[in-house]
Amino acid sequence: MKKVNLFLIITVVAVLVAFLNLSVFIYKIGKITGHAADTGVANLTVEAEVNVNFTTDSIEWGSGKVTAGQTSATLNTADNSATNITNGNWTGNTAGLVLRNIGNVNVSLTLQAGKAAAAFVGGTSPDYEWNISDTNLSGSCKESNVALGEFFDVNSTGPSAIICNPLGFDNAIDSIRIDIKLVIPYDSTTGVLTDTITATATAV
Amino acid sequence: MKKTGNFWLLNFRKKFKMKKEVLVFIFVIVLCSGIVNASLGISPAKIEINFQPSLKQEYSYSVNSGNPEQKLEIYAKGEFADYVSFDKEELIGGGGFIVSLNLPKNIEKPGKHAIIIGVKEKVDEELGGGIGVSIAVQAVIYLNVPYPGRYAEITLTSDNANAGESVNFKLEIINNGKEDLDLSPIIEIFSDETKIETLYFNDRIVKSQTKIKLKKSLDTLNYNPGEYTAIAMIDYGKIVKAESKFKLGELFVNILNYSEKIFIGGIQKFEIQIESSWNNGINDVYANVSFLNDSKILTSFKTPPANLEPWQKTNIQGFFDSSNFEKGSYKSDITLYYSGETSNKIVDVKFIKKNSKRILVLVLIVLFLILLLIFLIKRYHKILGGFLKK
Repeated sequence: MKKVNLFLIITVVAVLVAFLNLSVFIYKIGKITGHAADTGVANLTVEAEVNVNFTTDSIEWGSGKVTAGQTSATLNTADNSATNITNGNWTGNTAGLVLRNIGNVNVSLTLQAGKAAAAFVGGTSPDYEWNISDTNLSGSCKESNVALGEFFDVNSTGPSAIICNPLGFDNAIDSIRIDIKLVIPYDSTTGVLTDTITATATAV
Repeated sequence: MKKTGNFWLLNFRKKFKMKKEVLVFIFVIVLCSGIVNASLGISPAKIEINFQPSLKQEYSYSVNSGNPEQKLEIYAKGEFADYVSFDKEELIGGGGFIVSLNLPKNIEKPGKHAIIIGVKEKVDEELGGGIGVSIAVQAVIYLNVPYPGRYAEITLTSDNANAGESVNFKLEIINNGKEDLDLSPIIEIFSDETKIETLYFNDRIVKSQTKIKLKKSLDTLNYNPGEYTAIAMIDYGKIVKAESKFKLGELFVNILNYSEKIFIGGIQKFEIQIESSWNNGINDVYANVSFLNDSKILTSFKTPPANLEPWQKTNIQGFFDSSNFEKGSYKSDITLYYSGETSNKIVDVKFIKKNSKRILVLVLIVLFLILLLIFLIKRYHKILGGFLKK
């Protein structure tokens, strides 16, 4: 009997709490007559963000050497054929670097290498070039201060060249590809060779 | 003495002073950023402020990096970078920082100036080898320094519409001067050089270093389809104008071009270039093409349906058998069907034979000439040989 009474009390309390909750809810949203008792304002701010991503951020050729008797070897990630490595025995690579605007604003994009060919590779007539190209048929780079789709010497000194202005953030027009071509002479610098390519994206 | 290949190789080595060891070297080229996901972001991307003498202001920035262990360097660039300081100089893997702006009492050069707030990945040159990849992202603080006296800029934008519908204009007025401006903006509508109508805005005061956005609609009930020019104007002692072009459309698809020549024999393609004059999309546009001999229909076909975007110009095509046609010119009746309307054009199309016979004759002539040349060369050698013997 006591247990039944206790259960009854708990049930009544639960119903009262639910009723109270419902009353408060109805009071807050106003009378349910089809007419708004008050005006609610929803505020939402979406912050603009500059964000870029190297979706492909590594190119590996492995280890190798210039073919005996040759003056230099060429490594070219833009060449899809069997000749993307000539006069050398490195592992071929045709992936390139891919940079994508994953923010929600257009950006002006510049590239700068840390070293020129002589400082990076060394030897007789080395070469260190890059080729910037659109990965989208509709054209990610509307304007550029460099020739797109062609190899030219990396920019390691002076103001960075504007590669894209703007590089859009729309998924259809938001990425570019950077291919690298190295000419390694027979008498190049040996040992660990290091350089850094810096991509700078500025909100426009 | 015949020189062997070894001679040339040894000579080559000697010439370039190569040592065997030099030819063999290990060159590891690794383009590797050393991080799983090379991404970097900064927000807010853009802030715009008006210059005030000795303004002191703080702004919070947020940075996110794809690598939680990536060291990041914070910096400022631009002609006003000296007026910027940070609460920290570097971050690791992202986070927030505060930019403190402390402007001088006076900046002489008016206009919009940019202060760059940047975050850059730090590269440890001692790690790894090869070519590293680094990202820098830069947000911008635009600082508007007012022009002396009165100065304003305006921009005007408009939408295309169909004739009879409303055209919406947006007029933005930016007061970049030090004085408030009392303005009565207007928009004049032109068709070619002829002014058709003027729209008037309410008089209003635009305070110094503020911008306002106004909107106005144009009723085009009495307008013909075509291209128009809207010119907005304000006068604050100096007249400033801005222009925007807009189009009024009609439900009409024009036939611009078509295949003028068709080869006789087999299935041939017939192309039609069309252009929409409608400000909305038109679905299922197709053409019915008939070839006529006098008034008799020789053959007819339909093109597959195509969807047109507003104002779109595109090609549609159909195929037919031209085997039964004779060489010559035929009339072609091209009728476009779309949304209950039609467009029609009657054009001349030339049917021509393929030049297969001509090519055969040309090949035979070339072969003959080659044989003649071979014969003459042999003959010449015989004669020359006989002459030398004598």
